[in-house]
Amino acid sequence: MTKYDIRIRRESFSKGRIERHKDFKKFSGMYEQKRTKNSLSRLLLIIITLIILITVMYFGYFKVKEGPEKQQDTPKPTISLIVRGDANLG
Amino acid sequence: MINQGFSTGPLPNEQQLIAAAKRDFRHFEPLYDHYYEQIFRFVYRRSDDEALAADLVSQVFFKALGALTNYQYTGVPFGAWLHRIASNEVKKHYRNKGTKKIFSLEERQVKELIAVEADGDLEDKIAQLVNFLKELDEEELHVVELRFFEEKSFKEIAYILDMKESAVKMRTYRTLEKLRQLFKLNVND
Repeated sequence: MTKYDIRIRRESFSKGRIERHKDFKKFSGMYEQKRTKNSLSRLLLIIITLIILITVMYFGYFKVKEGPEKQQDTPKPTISLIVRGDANLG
Repeated sequence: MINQGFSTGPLPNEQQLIAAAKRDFRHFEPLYDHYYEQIFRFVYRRSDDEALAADLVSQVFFKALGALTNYQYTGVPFGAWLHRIASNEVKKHYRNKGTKKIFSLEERQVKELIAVEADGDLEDKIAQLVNFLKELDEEELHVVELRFFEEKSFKEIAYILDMKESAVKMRTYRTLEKLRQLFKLNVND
């Protein structure tokens, strides 16, 4: 099996047929649209990033201002071992 | 060389036009008009599909316009820069699609190439050449295509294929020699 499909065209592609696809007005319109869309997407991305950054900084600031968290005075669990009976320990 | 029947050279005031287009994309029109046919024929040869070629050519010009501010003249014509983008777009298309690569060659151009390379019955030679071209590796096929069907200089081919000029020259001569040998072997058989 070969890597390519090599074809021979009897007729050459006419200039007129290519000209049908050539339309700078349409192309530049599409390009401008795409450019605007890209700019808007970029702007949106910048705004979202800024919002995230400001939120993180805001909460971070209050956390620093409040100081370290106080440790809760919870009673430590105690373990008591009860040895019953007359077990020979010695 | 094979006569293309359209201008493949650069525009007379190309660098000024590029500078103007960098400032305002609406000034890109003369460049678009001048290179459209060349790029279309190149992409069509690699796709054999008119609608697909039109789509890919639009992509090529989109990419070119988007990257125009990065373009700097380094002695290679603007057309070669567009060919490089086109070549990459076609590669990307086949990579995404995962199908066999197509080379659709015009019979007229193939006949001119064979007339240079061999004597004898042209119709038979065309069929033989198609089989021999299938035996070439991708780089060899691209070099032959750009040199004999696109009429590119060695310097331009080197730029398009991202190779050294000396390597392109060597590749071209070796490929032609390979084709000559294949023709010879076929005659002797």
